[in-house]
Amino acid sequence: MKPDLDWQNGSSAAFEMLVRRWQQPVARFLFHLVGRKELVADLCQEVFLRVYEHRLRYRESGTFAAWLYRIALNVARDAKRRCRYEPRSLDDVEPVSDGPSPDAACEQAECGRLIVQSIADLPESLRIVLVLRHYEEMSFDQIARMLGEPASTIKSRFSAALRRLRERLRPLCDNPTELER
Amino acid sequence: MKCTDVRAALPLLIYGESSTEDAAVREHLANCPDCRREYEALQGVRRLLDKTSVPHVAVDLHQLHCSLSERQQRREKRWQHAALTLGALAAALLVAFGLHLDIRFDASQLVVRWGDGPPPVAETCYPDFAIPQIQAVKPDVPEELRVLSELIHALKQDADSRDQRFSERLDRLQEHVHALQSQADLRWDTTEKDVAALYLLTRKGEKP
Repeated sequence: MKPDLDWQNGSSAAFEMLVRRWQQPVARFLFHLVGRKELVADLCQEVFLRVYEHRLRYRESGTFAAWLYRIALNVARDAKRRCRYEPRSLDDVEPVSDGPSPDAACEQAECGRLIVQSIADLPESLRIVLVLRHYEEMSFDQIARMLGEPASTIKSRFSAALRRLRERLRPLCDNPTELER
Repeated sequence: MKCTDVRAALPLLIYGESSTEDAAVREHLANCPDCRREYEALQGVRRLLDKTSVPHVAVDLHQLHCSLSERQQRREKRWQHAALTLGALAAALLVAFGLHLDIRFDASQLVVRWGDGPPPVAETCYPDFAIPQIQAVKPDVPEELRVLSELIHALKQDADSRDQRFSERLDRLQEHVHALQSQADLRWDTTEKDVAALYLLTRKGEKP
């Protein structure tokens, strides 16, 4: 999808439309990438600041989403360097006990927290691919172009990410019938 | 197909990434309960990933414009500082080159000099001790020895000429002393004659 290109010429209304259209996808991307809810709003603000500052660098030939996510990725990396935030280890998160059912855990918001934490614990190279493919629904070719890597590498990273998550979330994955509820 | 190959293909199959092996994988899944369980578990992971709740974010456009303007101001200030620094540096370089500025550390002193330096010291200041100027440009032992030899020669000449002058003065003084001596002898003779004459006159006066 290509946004209205008036925002590149400094139109406030067009830029506002662009922000409204993309703020939630960017927030979702950053949230899954960083794994820290409290950082998302500030990072999102920074992303659109950079979008506005570098608006003239965007070329219509490229995918806008890829350009935008590239900026968001850089913002997340800069924030990590600057703040030295570390995703909390799974050891700090309350483990999923064998007693309560996965649904019950989900109802207590533990399930979601555990999933987010599991994603945050993945190595960055795997995490980026998983987030872009699963949450942003980008194709492997688009991800490959965005990251400048071969599509085969992206696919193998994605498979590795999914398998790691399967190991981490084994207690939840082994009860597929309960997940359907 | 082997189970390991099937399991490697499962993540992409679940996400609808079609491949030429899809039919074979599906056939294997129909006959292999272990691989089917793995397939269902990965599908479960996919469903789990959708169970996260993303925080709702509303970008504050007013704050965004304020931040943009602040950054613009900061950037302009940085440019101004850079321009001022460069200007000051250029001015300093111009002054240094224009005035032929020469700053150096000598033995126990800091020398700041501009222009072409002081005129060379006139050698007439010390005519009797005209020492050849020695400049330690670089350690050149034969050259230093040559200069040292010239210096010794000049000092020797100076000493010789002074000795000669002193000798001439002494000769003149000795001549003067000799002259005084002869004058004194002459005066003494005259005085003796005068005294003798007076004595005779006195004796004649006593015997009338």
